[in-house]
Amino acid sequence: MALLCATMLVFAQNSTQTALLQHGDETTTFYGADAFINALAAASTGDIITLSSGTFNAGDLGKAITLRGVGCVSDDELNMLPTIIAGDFQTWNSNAPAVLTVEGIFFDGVITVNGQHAPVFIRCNINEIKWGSEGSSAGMNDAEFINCRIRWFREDNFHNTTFRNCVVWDCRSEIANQPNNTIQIYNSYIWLNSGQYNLSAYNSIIGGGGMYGNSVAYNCISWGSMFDGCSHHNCWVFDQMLDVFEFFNGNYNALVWETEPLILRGDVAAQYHGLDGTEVGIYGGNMPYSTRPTYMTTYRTTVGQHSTPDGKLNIHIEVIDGNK
Amino acid sequence: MKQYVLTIFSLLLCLGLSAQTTRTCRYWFDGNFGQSATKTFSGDTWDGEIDVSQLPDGIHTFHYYLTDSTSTPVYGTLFHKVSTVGASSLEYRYWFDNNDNEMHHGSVSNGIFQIDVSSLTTGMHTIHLTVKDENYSATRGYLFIKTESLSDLAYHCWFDNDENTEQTGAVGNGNILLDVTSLENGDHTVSMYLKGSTISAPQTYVFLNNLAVDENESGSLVVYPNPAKDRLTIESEEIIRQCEIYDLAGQLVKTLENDSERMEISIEALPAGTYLVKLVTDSFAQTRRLIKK
Repeated sequence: MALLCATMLVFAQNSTQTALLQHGDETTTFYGADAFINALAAASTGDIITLSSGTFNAGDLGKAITLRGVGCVSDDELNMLPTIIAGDFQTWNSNAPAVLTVEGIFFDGVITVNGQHAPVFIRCNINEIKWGSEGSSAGMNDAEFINCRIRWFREDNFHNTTFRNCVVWDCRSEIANQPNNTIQIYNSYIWLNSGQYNLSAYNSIIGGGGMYGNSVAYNCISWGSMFDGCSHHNCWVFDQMLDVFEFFNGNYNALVWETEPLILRGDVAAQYHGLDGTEVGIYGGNMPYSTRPTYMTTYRTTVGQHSTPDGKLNIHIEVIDGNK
Repeated sequence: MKQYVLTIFSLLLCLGLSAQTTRTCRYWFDGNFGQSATKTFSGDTWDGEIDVSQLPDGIHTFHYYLTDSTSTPVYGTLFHKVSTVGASSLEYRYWFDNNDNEMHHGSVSNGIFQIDVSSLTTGMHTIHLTVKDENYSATRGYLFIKTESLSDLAYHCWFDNDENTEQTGAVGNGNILLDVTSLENGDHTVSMYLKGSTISAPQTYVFLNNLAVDENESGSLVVYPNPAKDRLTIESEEIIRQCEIYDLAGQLVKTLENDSERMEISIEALPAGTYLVKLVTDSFAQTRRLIKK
């Protein structure tokens, strides 16, 4: 029985939520479901908080720090469970020009932005991110999302947002035609809940409501009348979404927003290229979509279930290139 | 038409290869392994050139590994290809991560120059680059990932959430032996992270520290013969419930259930060596060292 328990616990690796707070050369460790909250409370501008696998309670994020997890989805090859921050929270940045950088985390709640300057989100899954309130002028400027998936992006007061190789399942603005709500998308898939103004799209796949006003599209794919109300160059229009993606079952509501691969059909990938000659969509361009964190080589670790008789514990570490 | 080449001489020098062995270098650009090519050479170095005329101007990654009887890991470097048509040399300047207060300058005459990223931490970065013919071109930005080699990393391990037990050392080839003699027998956790230019996410594992061998044969267990070749016999005054055999790496190699005071175990299939035999009765558990001939 002891062996069985040990075996089960080994496979349930990272059962302890751990947060490392790095302040220069000094590292402090926090444990448990509130580890992130406690590390955040102790953090200063520019510090790095690194979270293990596991589910952490959310805390309001009002500091310009770097926040890192092990990944936003399970990594079967590395036997690595994701880092999850559970629950709703607010975020702001009172330390600009220092910026908030977040990588490798699944946010399962609602992130309410009450003023952020140039935050960067890398390889995160975000359930919902929205502007704090209509009465507040504090929005989000110059945000950059790279290799992220966002279920709900409510961009009412988000100025100059950039998506690179991202998936945005529902992009909507409650305030139509906000002149400063500019969005640039590169090699992404985005679904516009309603007509979108001031959208610049490159090498991307766009669905939903049309693009209007100052919007422009280069080397993009869509279906229906997406590009009829905007400037468009070298774009391609299909009859339906099913004609674009491989194994797509045609039911938008059945998609799994966290993991839907969104692989182009072979003929589409071969025939329609972006401005840089790579395929259109999330797997083309300079930074093809991936869920593995980039900040540090991720690694596969094997730990002996038992110590050796002379009191040694064997550990084997294999470092995986962050590009893969 | 001008031919653009990438000189790889310096890339190979650092590997410290022995002389006169025939080796193959497989290389590719921009992560596109499907378009990889090979060069074969002898000796420690290859003072060679690689045609990059098919690559468009801009930032590229160059990946390669070497094989003789074994293979090296994959190495990578970042370089920039610029056209020099109409100019004998070009000035360039670049900076990372929007930090134009730390701008780097240089000039290039053959269309290729390497960019030093050693000062950056691992992870995703931006590079902003402009070149000057008569005037500086518009700045272009690129994303890239800085990675770190295993040999540059140190491990930090500690037990049972107690950082006072921390053990550190070089990761080296990836095989680490932690000293657990100060821990009591039973279940423990080991937490760890790697530290290079930055730190990795912590991981925690559970292990069992109960393999201290009871060499006292005066107990109620008798294990014979020892050394053994084919079969092992175990006798006890109590009913033996379970027998587990571990190798010296702590890996379980055999498990048997039992319901009597005596059991015989076939060990014919085990490679020769030293093993640990853990025996469990209703009232105690003991571990004995076994030598398999």
